[in-house]
Amino acid sequence: MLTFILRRVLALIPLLFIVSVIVYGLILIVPGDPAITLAGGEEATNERIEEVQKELGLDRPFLVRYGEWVGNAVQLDFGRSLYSDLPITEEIAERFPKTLQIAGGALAFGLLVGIPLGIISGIRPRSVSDRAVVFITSAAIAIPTFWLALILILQLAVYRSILPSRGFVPFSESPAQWFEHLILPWITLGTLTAATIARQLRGALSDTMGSDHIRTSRSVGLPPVKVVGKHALKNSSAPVLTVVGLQIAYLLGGTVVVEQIFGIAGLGSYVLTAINRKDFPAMQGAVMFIALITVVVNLIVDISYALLNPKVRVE
Amino acid sequence: MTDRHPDPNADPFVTSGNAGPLDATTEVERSVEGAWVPVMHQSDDMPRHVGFWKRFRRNKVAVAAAIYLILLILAAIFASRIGLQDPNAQNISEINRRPSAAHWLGQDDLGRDVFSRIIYGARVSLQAAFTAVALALVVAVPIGLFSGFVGGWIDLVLMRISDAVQVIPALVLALVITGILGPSTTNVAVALAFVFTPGFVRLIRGQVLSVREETYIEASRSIGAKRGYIIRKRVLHNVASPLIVQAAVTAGFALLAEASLSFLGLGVQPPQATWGTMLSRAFAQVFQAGWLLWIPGGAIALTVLAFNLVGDGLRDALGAEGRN
Amino acid sequence: MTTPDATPTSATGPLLEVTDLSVSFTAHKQTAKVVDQVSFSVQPGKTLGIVGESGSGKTVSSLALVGLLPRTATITGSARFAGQELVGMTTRQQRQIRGNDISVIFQEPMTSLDPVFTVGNQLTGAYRNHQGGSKKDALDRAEEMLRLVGIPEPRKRLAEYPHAFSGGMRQRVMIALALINSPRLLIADEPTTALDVTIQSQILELLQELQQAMGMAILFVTHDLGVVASVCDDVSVMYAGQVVEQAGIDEFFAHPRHPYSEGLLRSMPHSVPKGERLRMIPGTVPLPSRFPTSCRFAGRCPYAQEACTAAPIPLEQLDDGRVVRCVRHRELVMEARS
Repeated sequence: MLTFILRRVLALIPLLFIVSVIVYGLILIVPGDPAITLAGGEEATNERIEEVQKELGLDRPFLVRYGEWVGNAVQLDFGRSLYSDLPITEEIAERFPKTLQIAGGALAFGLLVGIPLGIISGIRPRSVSDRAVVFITSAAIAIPTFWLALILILQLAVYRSILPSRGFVPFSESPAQWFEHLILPWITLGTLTAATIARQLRGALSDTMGSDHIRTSRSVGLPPVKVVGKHALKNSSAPVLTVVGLQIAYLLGGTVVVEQIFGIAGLGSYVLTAINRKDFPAMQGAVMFIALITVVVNLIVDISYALLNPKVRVE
Repeated sequence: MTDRHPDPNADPFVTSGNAGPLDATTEVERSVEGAWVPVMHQSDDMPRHVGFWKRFRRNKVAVAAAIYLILLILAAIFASRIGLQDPNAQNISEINRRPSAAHWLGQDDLGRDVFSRIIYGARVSLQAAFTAVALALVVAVPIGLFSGFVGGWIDLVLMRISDAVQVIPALVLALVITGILGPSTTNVAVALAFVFTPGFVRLIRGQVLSVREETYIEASRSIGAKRGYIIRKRVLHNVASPLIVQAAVTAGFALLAEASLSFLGLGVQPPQATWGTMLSRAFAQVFQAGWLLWIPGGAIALTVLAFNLVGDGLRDALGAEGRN
Repeated sequence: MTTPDATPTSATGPLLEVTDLSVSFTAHKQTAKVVDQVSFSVQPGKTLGIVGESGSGKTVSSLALVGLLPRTATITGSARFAGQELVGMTTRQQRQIRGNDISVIFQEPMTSLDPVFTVGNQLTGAYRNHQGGSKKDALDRAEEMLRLVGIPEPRKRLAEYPHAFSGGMRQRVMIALALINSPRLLIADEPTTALDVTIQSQILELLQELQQAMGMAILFVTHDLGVVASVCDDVSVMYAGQVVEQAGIDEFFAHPRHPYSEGLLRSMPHSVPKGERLRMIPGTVPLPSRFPTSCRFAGRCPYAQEACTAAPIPLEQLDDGRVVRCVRHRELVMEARS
């Protein structure tokens, strides 16, 4: 098992390397002279342009700059923000927990809602409950994330003051308010996840239920709770895990929009603000960090595969 | 990590059961509870020669979705000629009005006609979406074919690069590229094309790999058919079907992404109408005229759904080839 | 190999007595009677072979006894097991019997074990489901069973996953699983069909040993007469949902009384002198929706006459206890070999 984990981790290094090249290489697509564009375009003062040049080291060859940046990035030092001059890592560290709470909560919501729905429809295909679940999930998948957010805000915050429409309250301050402020973002982001998980689990479960080993479990007289809850579910877990892995990218991307709508100062809005302010290093650092998180989560998913399905460990 | 993606568009009503040993005399089908049950109905499969269009037509929902899309596209193309009001004509005295005879979908926060803004907005959004998909295909097809055929370390490197691009969340990447290039519809399309390319490359490459293994290519080769001929005939034919399906679905995502980017202020600039910006304006005054949210949002949802349904319909109509 | 007196009824009474068992399946608004008034019985400690081609209803009949058929099945008739009536039992009652008093082993050992749980986990699960008890007791029992079925280093193997076992070994594990609660009846549904010939005979031997050791009865469902010859005491031949012949093993192989039985025996490779063509029964088994009302075998029978297609053929009981469904059985003299 340990060798499995080690091998997976080693495989990540070339991947992250390429990602870092892409992220850092984005400077190359800046239209015009990067120093001028990032300094503010035509209205930029010469001093500012020189400042930007120096900060980003634009007078030096690309590979040198890249090497320096990567060298620092590995130690999680992404340099300083062009805008605020604060260490980017600090700014990320301040904002990331909020994004984590949003995305993590959405994922939890997706699992809590999606798994039961998937089970209900998976064990009795083509039944009434199954058709209902398929219909609901189809609808849920089609609704655009941010529209859902807006409608929820409209119904629950504007027309009726059940929930707040903006802001963030730390858990330590008030658990109740923390929850109130996060429940809508969670539902917004988590609905697609729930629908996708329900769909995948449904497919996997109905496959598994027809398998020989489930027949064996039944032939031995195990009660349905055990047959489904223990045997069928564990065998059907792979697609659910796959969805979780795929959804991470979606969730992290989606928080950008959700944070904007709900006015939460997380990592997503940090990326957006960085772009609007042309704060290139901040944008690079944030994107790299997000990519890192995605990769780490996918690693956890891979390890979970191996934990749940012993055959995978042998590969 | 990359080879275990389930097909998110898999038809939920087709569950692949375990095929047991085929019975020579009586057809038996395995029920969900796991016992053998004799099959008593005739198989419902249509033979191939029934034709793609017939099969597509049988799917009423997909047909309805396709009609909706066609109408929308036509309306968008001929927007200026169908007698719509000026989408940019402001009328400050009539802001946030509900639908009326003169303004079928009401008026927005600057008194502009919502209905015409929707149609003109469709033009921008659809244009961006289609351009993005087209660009992605133009880039992905050669790369995918090349990677699949050449194999070796070139293939390995290309796949790693493709993986790396997909590690960055799509919206974030599109956001960043659009932001760098400057907000405009074209740049949105370019950014989205970049995001979609790896997915297409992977699909094409996968098809190429599986077709390469097909023995009938060997057979063709053995009767002296020219290599180029084989490629054109077999590979493109096999690749085309799932590609079309994927393209349809991706167009839906592209629309969604464009709307998101516009919503965040990175797409088309005002006063140009696009569904995303209409949403953001409506949101800006959610407390005064929240009902304005329903229209552009509904339009986006409906159109994305239509793309997905058409994609599903295409997949079913194209038969086994449409599935990966 | 067999006891001299192989009559279906004996003084102590049968362990399992099935009378007029019928199973129908309903799907897409059609109903088909797949098993039509089948009767047989199994004596304690003895082995009854149920023989037939695919589509004969043999598997469905046996699975119907323990409630392993899908919801679409309707079961009528009677099946008395040790004084209890199996037909019409609640699912809970059926679950109590499954894996406990009556166990089942199936054909596909490669896929019949849960790949994501250890063998020990699955064995103890089956044990504790019926007997309760501590984990340690269950593990001991599991180890004992593995040893009983001939798996070396049983304690170590308990912690392994099914993919670490070969096909033959997996079938042994399946047998261990089925026998862990000492059932009185084992239903074996083609347990050796998917195995290599050498492994086949090992497994058959194992089953016989275990039967001796544990005194259980076996209901052996198979299409392979060779297997029947080596392990069964009695045999019941099914065709197209009906029982067409029943006899003790020796009589059956010496003098079959139904044309279908003769056909089966003759189609065995051993019954043909070397160099001659293998024999087969021409035609195919009719589909349940198209069972003839008269003799269902008439279409393929070399001895068919008008009387065969006129009316339904009843099951006749003969003096020596045998049972035959054929109007011409008195006239025909059939042999297993040509």
